[in-house]
Amino acid sequence: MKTPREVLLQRHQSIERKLDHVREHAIASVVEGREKPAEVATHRSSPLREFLLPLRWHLAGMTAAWIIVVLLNIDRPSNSPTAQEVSASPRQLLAELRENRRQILELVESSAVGADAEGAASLPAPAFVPRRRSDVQPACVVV
Amino acid sequence: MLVVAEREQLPVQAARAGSPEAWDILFKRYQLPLYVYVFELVHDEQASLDVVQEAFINAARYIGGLRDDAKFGSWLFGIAHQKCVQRWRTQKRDEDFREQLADSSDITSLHETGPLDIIIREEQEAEFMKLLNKLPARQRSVLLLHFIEDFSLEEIAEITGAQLGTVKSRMHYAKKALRKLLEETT
Repeated sequence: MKTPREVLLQRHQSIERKLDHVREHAIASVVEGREKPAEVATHRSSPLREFLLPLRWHLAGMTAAWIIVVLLNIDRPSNSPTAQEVSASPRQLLAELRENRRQILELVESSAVGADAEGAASLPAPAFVPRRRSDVQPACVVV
Repeated sequence: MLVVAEREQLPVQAARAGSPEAWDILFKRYQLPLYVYVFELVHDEQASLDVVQEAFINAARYIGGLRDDAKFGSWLFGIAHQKCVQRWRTQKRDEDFREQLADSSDITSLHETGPLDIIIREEQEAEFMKLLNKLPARQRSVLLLHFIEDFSLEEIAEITGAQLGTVKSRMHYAKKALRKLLEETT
C-alpha cells in the first residue's frame, strides 16, 4: 500500500542523477550572480523600476495614443493660410489702402447724393389755401 | 513519508543572502517533487528538466520578491507552473469544454481529507497513473500539487493563479474520478 505521493516519486526516482546535474548548473548561476552584485542590485531595488513596472501597460497605451494623434496631424495638413502666406509686400499694401480709400469716398459721395434726393422727396406737400372769390378770373366769356 | 514544506526548517534566509550551500539544500529538497509535477503535466523528460532548471534560476534571481519564507515551496512551484502554462499555450488541447463544466459549480467542503486518504495498492499503480493522465491538465495540476506537497487549497490557488472556488471545483472532480476508478479496480 502506497500513498499517491510515494507512487509518483518512486516512478521518477531514476531521474535523480540528471536532476543533480540541473541543480549544480543552477547553483553555478547563483555563484555567478554573487560575483555581479551591482547588476543584481539594479534588478532588485531600483525604485524607478518598481514604480514604472506596474504602469508599463498604461504607459504603452498612452504612448500608442499619442503616436496616433501625431500621425493624424501629419497626414492632414491644415487648410487655413499661414501668417507668411497672408503677408504682402508694402507696395501691394499701399495699393490696397488706396483702393480702399477710393471705395470709401465713393460710398460717402453716393450716400450724400442719395441723401439730397431723399431729402427733396421727403418734403411735406404745401397745404391747399382757397383763393378769394374776387381774385377768381371767369374762365368763359358771355356773348 | 509525506514531508510538509512549511514544517521544515529550510534555509531560505541564508539563500536570500546568497549562500550557495543554502540554495543547494533548497534545490535538493524540491528537485524531485518539482520534476514529478512538471513531468506529469508536460510528459516530456527534457522539457521537464528545462523547466526545473529555469525555475531554480528564476528562484535564485527573484528571491527578493518572496515575502514569507514559509511559502518558499509554493512560490517555487508557482514559478514552475507558469513555465508549464507557457507550454500549454503553445500546444492547447481540446479540454476547454470539460474545464468549463468542472469550473461551473462551487464546492465548499472538500479539503476535510488529506492526500493520505487515497491508498493505492501495487496492482492499482499503473491504473492510477493512467487515470491521472486522462484528467484534464488543470484538474491534474491541482491533484498533483495536493498529492506531492500537500499544499492547501489557498496555496494551490496561488500557485495556479486560479480562484479558490475554481480550485475546489477542480479538486472535487479530479478526486471523484480517481475514487471511481479505484473502486472499479478493486
